[in-house]
Amino acid sequence: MASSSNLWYLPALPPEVIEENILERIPIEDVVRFKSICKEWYELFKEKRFILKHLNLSQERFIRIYHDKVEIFNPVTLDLSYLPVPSQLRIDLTGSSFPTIFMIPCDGLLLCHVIEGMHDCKIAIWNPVLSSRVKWIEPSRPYDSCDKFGFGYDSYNNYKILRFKSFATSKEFEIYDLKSKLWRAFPAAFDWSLFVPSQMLSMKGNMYWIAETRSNSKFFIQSFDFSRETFKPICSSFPVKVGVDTVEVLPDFGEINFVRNNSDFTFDFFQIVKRKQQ
Amino acid sequence: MSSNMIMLKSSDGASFEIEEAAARKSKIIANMIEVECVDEDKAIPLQNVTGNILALVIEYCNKHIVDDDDDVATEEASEEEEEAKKKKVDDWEAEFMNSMSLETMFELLLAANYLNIKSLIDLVCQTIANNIKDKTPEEVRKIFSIENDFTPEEEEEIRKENAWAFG
Repeated sequence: MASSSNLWYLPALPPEVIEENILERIPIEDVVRFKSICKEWYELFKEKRFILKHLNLSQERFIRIYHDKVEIFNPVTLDLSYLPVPSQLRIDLTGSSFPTIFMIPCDGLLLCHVIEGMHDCKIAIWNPVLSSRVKWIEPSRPYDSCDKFGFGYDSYNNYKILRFKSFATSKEFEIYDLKSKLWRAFPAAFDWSLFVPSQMLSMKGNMYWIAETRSNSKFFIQSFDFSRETFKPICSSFPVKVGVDTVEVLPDFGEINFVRNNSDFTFDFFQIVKRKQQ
Repeated sequence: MSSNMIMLKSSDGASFEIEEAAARKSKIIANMIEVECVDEDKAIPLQNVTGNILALVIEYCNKHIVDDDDDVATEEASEEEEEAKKKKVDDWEAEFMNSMSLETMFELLLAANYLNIKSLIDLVCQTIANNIKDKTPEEVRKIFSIENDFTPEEEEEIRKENAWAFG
């Protein structure tokens, strides 16, 4: 490999070759590090076209979430990295039933729901690969421990947060747009409740939960479409098995494989998104 | 597949004989062949490519034209065979790029860019990307001859900036 002393003799590459062919192949961690190289790169890394091309070429990685760290695993290179949960999100787990933290992963971003008391709740967005800091999302009215959240994006790739309460009488449905930074109420109604402890998954922009019908207590998968802003049950007759230690969505349900097989429902979470078999 | 041979001539006067099918890996040469500006007796002059780099380009093209032929011949190959073949190509490419100096990589990339050989551009760029990923910003500036146009304060500010995957 060239030593640093003879780097000066390297021929100059055309900027478009560097920008379009090389930089879109470097890992996202390095894209962030290289923002300070020059103004042109700084602007380039913010361009939507670059971001989409980079996403397209980057390898998918798995994320495993614990209360104090996340693991990022690359199934191709077998690289495993540990990223600590930012101090802003650290909670004291030695006390009573509170506090609790839920994290919903959506394409590498995490929606973190911190519950430290009935009326002491907050939510934040955290990108574990890129940042050791989180972005707090201010509510339109105070959060409380009955709030449920969903995290996804619409057909324009705008990330959105869904906030609702899983009571039959509730009329409080809101969506937060991370671009406009605004909450907006929308009408909805439902005759179902979420299975407790909550079983949820954000995939390809939409949100999925294991839910229970109110009329006959049947388990099914409820989805929320962030483009249409509607709840929609998926295949109501689908065999959702709910046990003491294991909750699985079986068998080959579209592209979801939702496996959770230990008793620590809150933190030990594996999300496996498989490609559809041809 | 035609086994016509054509001649390529590097900027420093070295001549190389190459199968037309291999040379067609280059869009530029393929176009020249299409519009018949290739005189059978005369070598195609490549002003921007030196002999040592052209030799590498030809080695790559020859290797990949053989692979492409294989693909056509064994369309019904099993998945394992396909995978084994892909691994063979990957191994060859890794070996081809391995031990190549950064300077040679850059020259090879310039040649691939000039000759418009998409798969070779991709291969070299991926190797360069792998090479720079552990480098400091200062080393990367040297590698790409980039001038730092930030003030030290601005640079510090960017380092501290909270980074997001969305705008």
